[in-house]
Amino acid sequence: MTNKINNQDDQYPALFSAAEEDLIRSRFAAFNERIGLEPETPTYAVNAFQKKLDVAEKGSSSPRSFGLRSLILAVLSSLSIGILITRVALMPSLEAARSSSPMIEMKGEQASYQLLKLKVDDPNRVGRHAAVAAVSAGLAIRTEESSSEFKLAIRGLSSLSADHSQLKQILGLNSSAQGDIYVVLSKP
Amino acid sequence: MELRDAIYTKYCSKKESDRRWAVGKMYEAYSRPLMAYLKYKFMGLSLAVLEEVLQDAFLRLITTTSAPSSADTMQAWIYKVVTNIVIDDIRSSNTDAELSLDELGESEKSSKEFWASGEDQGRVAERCVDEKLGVFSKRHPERAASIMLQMDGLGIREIAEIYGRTEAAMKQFIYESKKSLKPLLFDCLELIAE
Repeated sequence: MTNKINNQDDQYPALFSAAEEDLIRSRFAAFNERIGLEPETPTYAVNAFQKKLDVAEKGSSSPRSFGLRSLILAVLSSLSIGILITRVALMPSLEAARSSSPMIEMKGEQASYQLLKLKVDDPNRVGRHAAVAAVSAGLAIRTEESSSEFKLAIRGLSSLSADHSQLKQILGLNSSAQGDIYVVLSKP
Repeated sequence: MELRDAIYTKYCSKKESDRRWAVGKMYEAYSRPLMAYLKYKFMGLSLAVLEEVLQDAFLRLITTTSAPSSADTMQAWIYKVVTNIVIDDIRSSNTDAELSLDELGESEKSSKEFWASGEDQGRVAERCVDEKLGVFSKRHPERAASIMLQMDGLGIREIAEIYGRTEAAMKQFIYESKKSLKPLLFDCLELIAE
């Protein structure tokens, strides 16, 4: 494939040879892969959009709208619900460990999990997104948050489930990643 | 009937279910270049957030009062309308979205520094270009995105709508972008010329 601009318009002479353009094009594709961009609309995104269209159809005459502010609110409320659900689900073990602090529980949990440590500018924001994606995908999670760190224990990540793709994308995990994962997000 | 024509016909239909079907297909067929542009422009936002904002903008096409004038101009129209909605949404939320690509690192290595491991010349050139594209995308995200979209096969008219420019101005912008990329890649490209 050659540069359309170079071919169509003499005003803009070719700046790169065909071989150079091929190399640059392929490296842009590799760069996109590095930052998580997929060449086609991923199936999970199409499915998620279809669900929103269905909701809009069942709901009022105007479609449900999610601005960025409402998205952030949704993220926070989903997170609270996620924590609530996991709290209820894990109530027996929490009862048994009532005397120990949450930190000790998380540390104990860490032993049986694959550890993933990530340095990000805003650990809490990334952690909350990951938590919401995990809860939306039906995964059991536990979280712990401080001003500088966000810890997230995820149980039952599958390499086969398309529903887990978004979470993997947020955490920069390969699509084949699976099992129980303990993520520690902190500032660089 | 081509899918594009079917989408256009149904989108212009007065039946709401037809319009919803059309918007679903529009998202499926045309959202990726927009996503790529937005990711370059708002590198500080995660893909998950951008996907939500982008989907929200596409949803609003169901109720928008304007419409493309023909099937030929539909893709460009979608890019114009959706980009405007997304950028307004992101800017009005006051998020620090336009962050740099710090996590990708910036380097000023010369091509000689890529020779360390005795790899073949093609691979060395690739690593050299990777490094320089990272630097260029950090310094000039919009310029990098324009070259990437054009090399990816998107038409000038469509890219121009995403950027809110005329076609002539867009051609000039891409040309200038390539001109500013060229000296950065000079060392790397010498490797494949040898």
